[in-house]
Amino acid sequence: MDLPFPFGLPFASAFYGALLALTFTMHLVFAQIVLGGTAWLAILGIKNAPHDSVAQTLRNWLPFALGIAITLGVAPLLFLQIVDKQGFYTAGLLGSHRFMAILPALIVGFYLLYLQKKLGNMAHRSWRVLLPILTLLAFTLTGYSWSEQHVLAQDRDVWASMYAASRMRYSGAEVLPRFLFFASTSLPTVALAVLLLTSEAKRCAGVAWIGIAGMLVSAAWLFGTMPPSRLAAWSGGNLAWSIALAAGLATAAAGWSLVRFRSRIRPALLVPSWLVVVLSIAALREGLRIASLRTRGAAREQLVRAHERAFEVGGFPVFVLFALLLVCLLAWLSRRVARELSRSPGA
Amino acid sequence: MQDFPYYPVLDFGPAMKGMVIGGIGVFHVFVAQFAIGGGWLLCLLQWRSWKRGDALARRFLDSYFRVLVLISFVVGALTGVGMWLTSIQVSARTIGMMVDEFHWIWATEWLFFLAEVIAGYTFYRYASRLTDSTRFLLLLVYSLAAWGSLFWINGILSWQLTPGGEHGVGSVWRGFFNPSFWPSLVYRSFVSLTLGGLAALAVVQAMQGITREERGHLARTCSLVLVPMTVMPLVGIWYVSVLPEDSRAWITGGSALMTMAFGIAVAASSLLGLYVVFGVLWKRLNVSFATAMLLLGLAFGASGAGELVREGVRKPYTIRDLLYANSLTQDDVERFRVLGSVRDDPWPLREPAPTASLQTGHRVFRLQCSVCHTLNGANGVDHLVETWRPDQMRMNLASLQHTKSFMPPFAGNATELEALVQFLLWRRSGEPGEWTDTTTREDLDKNHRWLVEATTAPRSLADQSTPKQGGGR
Repeated sequence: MDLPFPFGLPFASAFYGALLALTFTMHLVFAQIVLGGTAWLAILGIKNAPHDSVAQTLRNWLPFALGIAITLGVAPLLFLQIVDKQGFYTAGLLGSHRFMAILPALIVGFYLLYLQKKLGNMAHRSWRVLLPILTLLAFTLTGYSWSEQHVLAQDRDVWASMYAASRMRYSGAEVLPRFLFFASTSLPTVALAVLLLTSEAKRCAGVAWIGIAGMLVSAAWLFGTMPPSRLAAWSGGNLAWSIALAAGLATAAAGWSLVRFRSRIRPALLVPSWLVVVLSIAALREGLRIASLRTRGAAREQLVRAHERAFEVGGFPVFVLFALLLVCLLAWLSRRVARELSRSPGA
Repeated sequence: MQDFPYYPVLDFGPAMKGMVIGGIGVFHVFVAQFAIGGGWLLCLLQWRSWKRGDALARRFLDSYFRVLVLISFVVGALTGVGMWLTSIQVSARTIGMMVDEFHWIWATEWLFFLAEVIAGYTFYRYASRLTDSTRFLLLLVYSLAAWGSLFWINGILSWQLTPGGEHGVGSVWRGFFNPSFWPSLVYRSFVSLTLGGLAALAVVQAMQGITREERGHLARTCSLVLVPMTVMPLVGIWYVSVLPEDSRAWITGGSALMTMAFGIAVAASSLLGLYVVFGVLWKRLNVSFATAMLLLGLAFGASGAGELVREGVRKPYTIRDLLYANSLTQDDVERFRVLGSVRDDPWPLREPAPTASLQTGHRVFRLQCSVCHTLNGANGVDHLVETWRPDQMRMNLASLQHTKSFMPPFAGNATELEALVQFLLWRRSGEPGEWTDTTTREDLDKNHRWLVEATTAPRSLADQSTPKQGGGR
């Protein structure tokens, strides 16, 4: 595949692949806000800053962000079952305990976030340290398990031996650096969200810089762990998305420099550049998934046929109709709510 | 390599796989339906607060909404995702086929879910600063979206039981508006209102700082959503009337478990309905917190039994006429009768067996039986066949669908059938380290004859005539 994902693929495969990448991008933004925000909250808890404005903002918004992240996560989960049914199901079965553990971890994580919101800065010091750390553990388990699941879904060579040995943990070398890359990306994402909600420009820039540095280090580590066959996939279209990722990252780094050294907030520069970064990550993820089937002609053919069959199923116009209605309804409601809020005494 | 999707098969020890999905399923349905009914109740309360100036209704609304959001948004949403994940663990092919057929319906349901969450969170966060009309609008969007989710998912779930036509291209709407769609939708909508109302009664009793009269006033308001419960018997009859004849036979004596579960669902619903009609609505009894929780417990029991019936009456299918409970299609059965079912199975065995035949038998068990049976735990085959003589075992397994009509036909050739018999006999002997296979040519011929006699056609209680002839070997 020489064209960037999803171009160059048969139409049905490109269609579902693009839908997966787009919906995954939406989910990823909020998932990263939750993971990065919880990590930041844990550090602020350790530093004993109960009245810190960033801590208050995070406590206030993280339960909502988690609710949205979970809701937005349903769509990519649906399209993934069409795009890579066999890989997704098989990895889910092989790592079933950890896969299923995501659910209680997220439920516990949500109630811990809500508890922190309710307690606010009234919580005892030890709780202010302990609660965010426990929450962070719950979300780290979730994020790590998804990284593990994703890599395992493509590592078909280990499936049979893993099953035979009843091994519940997949220890592929790519999993940890991949998760660290994802975790590092969450820091600039949450920094951007906090920047839009508060006036803590310099601190946000600091967190974003740490995240960008983490992304570079973990990306280098990830490359180092990849076998030559996987590295070979990093060409053509995937290389184009890598360049887009690098360009987005460079622009964002420049934007954060303006924020840090000139105290100028540049959402117009930062938001689009960061969206390019997140979208490129999602597109690369899918492009590499397709490339992993390059040497498996039969599996690839089977997948393409499955996409074509799925594409013939009815219902798409109804989805589009309701999507448009939803957008109009929510836009109208948001305007109405915003207007009333601006007139209310608490405005 | 055939097109058949072999997935790794999990072993849940002594627990049946159905227990895992059933546990999460019942909990999810209960929470999700509570969220739907609760939403409509909130609309009613907001309407009264807005149009009649009922300050108490507004105060209660805010307390109740917190309970609704805290329970339903996260636990409801995650157990919904959990249903997908659990379904993968139990039968990946079933959920895969449902996604293939209905992914745009599911995607549309997701839009409604998104609207529900956004409207709900907006209300949760800003309601105190909004006018009555906007508050009502937000709650209306929330409730319509929540009920809309039920509308869409109901089409998919009822399709499993009554697919309503041939499968294939363009069949999505015929499948969606299948024969049990409307009764199931009405039934679930009324159950939702009942759960929302009963939970509200519990919250009313738990509220602090209100007088007995105010509590009574609120309880009567909340009871209004329980009114549809009075026509539940009629809806139940409607629902049962559209079930396929053999499914109806399961709940009217054909299967002891299904009949019992159906009886529990009917009895619990009737008791609940009688109490609601005579106690709450007519006599206006004061429902204490303990009584409200007891009624909710009864509703949970009715829901659980109802879901068990819904899952159980599909047997031997998981998607009627399309996919058997063991994830094999009729085409697979016919092909495997000739080629064998585990010849291309790429998944190794986790536990060794001394001979190749025993290993084949174990693989056959894993592929065809393990979704509903354990080896020696719940519904364990060791116990089920422990008194069968070898020939009896051969004949019963060869004609599974005639031995028990809720079983799918055996999907293998005479050699695989013999391997399964040998595997079960080996287990009965205590799994010795050495095993001499005593199979004779005559045994294989008998297996073959019995397989041919049984045919590959499914058999149901509604079809008690002579077995159909034809089909694969």
